[in-house]
Amino acid sequence: MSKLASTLKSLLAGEFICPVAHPASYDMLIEEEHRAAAEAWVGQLGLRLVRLSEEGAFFLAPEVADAEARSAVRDSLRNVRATLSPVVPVLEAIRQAQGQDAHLQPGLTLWESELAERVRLTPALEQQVMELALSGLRLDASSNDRMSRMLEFLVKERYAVPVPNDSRGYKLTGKIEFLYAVLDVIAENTELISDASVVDQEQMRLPEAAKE
Amino acid sequence: MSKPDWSSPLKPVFAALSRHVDVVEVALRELVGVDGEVAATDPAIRSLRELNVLRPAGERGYRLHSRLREFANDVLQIHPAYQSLTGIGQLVEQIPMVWNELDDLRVAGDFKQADEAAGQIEQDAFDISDMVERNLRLLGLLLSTRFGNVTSLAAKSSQNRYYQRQSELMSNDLARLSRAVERVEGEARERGLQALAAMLRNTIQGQLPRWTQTLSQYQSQIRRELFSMREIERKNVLLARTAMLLRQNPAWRGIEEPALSEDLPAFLLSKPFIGAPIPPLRIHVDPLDDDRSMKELMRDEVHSLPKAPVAAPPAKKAPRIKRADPKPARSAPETPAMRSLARLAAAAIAHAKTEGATSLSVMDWRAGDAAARSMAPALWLAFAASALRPYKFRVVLVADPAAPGERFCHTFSDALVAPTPDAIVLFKRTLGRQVGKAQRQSPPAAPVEAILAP
Repeated sequence: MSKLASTLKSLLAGEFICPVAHPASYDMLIEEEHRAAAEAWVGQLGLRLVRLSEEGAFFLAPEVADAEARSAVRDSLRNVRATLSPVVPVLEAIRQAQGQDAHLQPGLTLWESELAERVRLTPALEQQVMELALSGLRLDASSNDRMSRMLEFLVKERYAVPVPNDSRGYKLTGKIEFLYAVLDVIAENTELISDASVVDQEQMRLPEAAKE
Repeated sequence: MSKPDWSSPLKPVFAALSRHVDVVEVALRELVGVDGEVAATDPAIRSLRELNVLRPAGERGYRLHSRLREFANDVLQIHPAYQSLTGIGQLVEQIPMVWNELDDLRVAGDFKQADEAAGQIEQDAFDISDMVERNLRLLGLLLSTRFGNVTSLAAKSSQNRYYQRQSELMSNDLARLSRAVERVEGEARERGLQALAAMLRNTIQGQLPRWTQTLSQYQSQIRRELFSMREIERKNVLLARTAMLLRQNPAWRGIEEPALSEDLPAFLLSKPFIGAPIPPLRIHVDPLDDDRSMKELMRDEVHSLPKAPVAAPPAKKAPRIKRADPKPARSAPETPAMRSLARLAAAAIAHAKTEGATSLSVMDWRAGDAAARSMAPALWLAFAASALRPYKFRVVLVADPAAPGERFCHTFSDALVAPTPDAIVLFKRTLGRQVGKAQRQSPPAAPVEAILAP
């Protein structure tokens, strides 16, 4: 199968083409000539090729957001918990287990043993992990099992891909940028999150010049 | 140890540095002589201390002279985190100050001192140029590695802010430098000190535009870095708050009345959010594709199909065989008319044999046959003429002459029948049998065999 064909199939399947999950396809799409070919193809289907950010993953969206699409978006936002749960709690637990300064971004490698160890050593985090509602997991499953299941869940949802050499390592994909973007929309529309009075300490310290 | 040459005060210092370079290298990174007992007896440390190369670091040991450390870092291009950009502010202030001195000295007529002051200005100008270049190089390096020599996120953002402040200071210094040098250079030209003015122009004024430009590029890059840091913080906060929201509000389903902008962001239209834009692909295999892998694929496809209900094997039908000859009279009913026809055919064949090529008249023959006479003449004529043709007899209708005033004949009154070779073969198999049967039932008729016999 040609590279263009497999790229188009991944795109049509709703995948995010990022350097981690689809390195070959991504390399192809960042070349002007190939991207134009892909755009022409999906254009015929009434779709367009878009990116999450200037350097983010590629994905497909309808060319025109018609009334039907808008109402689908509205429905999804009304029921957004289905999209967010359990991926957000899982990622947040992993972020905490990753350490104080962790930032979950595409390309970050997560090591299962390291994360499980941190969870075991941090009672509050362990409690949080034990409360996660992951399907197919017994209530009394150990936190090690849970961490393992959490990472597998991320793989299933295409937020991570396993590191090839079977070392129980996982790399985060570009899809996480999609999640951040959705969270942003939710924050704008939900008072519970976008509480303006709670400004992060870190942001307070930023000099005014940085706001340009 | 060679005897030091005491005629130069520098030589012993550099000789000691060279001799004890191991200790110097250690001291560049960490404190030496931490263990007091050893330090007291170590000749290297003692000799370096005597030359002021090692300075006490509190009670705990000794460190390398700060200028030496700076020098070493500069030479080795080592850039520790939070290394400050070398301040040029002091030198910037010094140039106009020395220039004022120089002016005074020239007025007083002390040209020797004035020359020294000019030399000092030149030194300062070169130093400034060096420092600015070095600062820019340092900033450029840090930016190209994206401040890579720190590990944690917090350290990174704190370092970013640090260098932003540093570069702001440097930018102010450059502005001051520009003003100061402009004044000094102008005055030097007025006083006829062309060499000094030219030196300032070449060393500083010529370079200033490039310096400011590079610095402002770096500054905007640092600002971008800071912005992306802030983005990271923001994303972490979003993730944490949303997780908390989901945890603390089990009843929260989503946004009741989402405010959607006119121009929907694309990610909200992506498949993970609203589902697939087009139905899933169903690919069919081209059955005419003779590629081997395709064939295997098709075989697998067929194997994976549900088994068709097995019907009883259909009864075996005899193979269809096309007869060489048509068999029109096979089921011809045995009517008096058919028997008459058979007799007519037999008569025609016999007639052909006796009379040569002449045809037999159907109406003439009718006159001698009782059964034929029982039919109306027109009916007999039409029947015989049309029924003999399928038996391969040549039948020629004898047309009446055209009606007066017309060119076409519309009626016929007789038909001439002549057998073809095919007709004789066919006759034996079909009509001949009827004749035979009829003769067995009615002996008076002439035996067919007799007729057919040559």
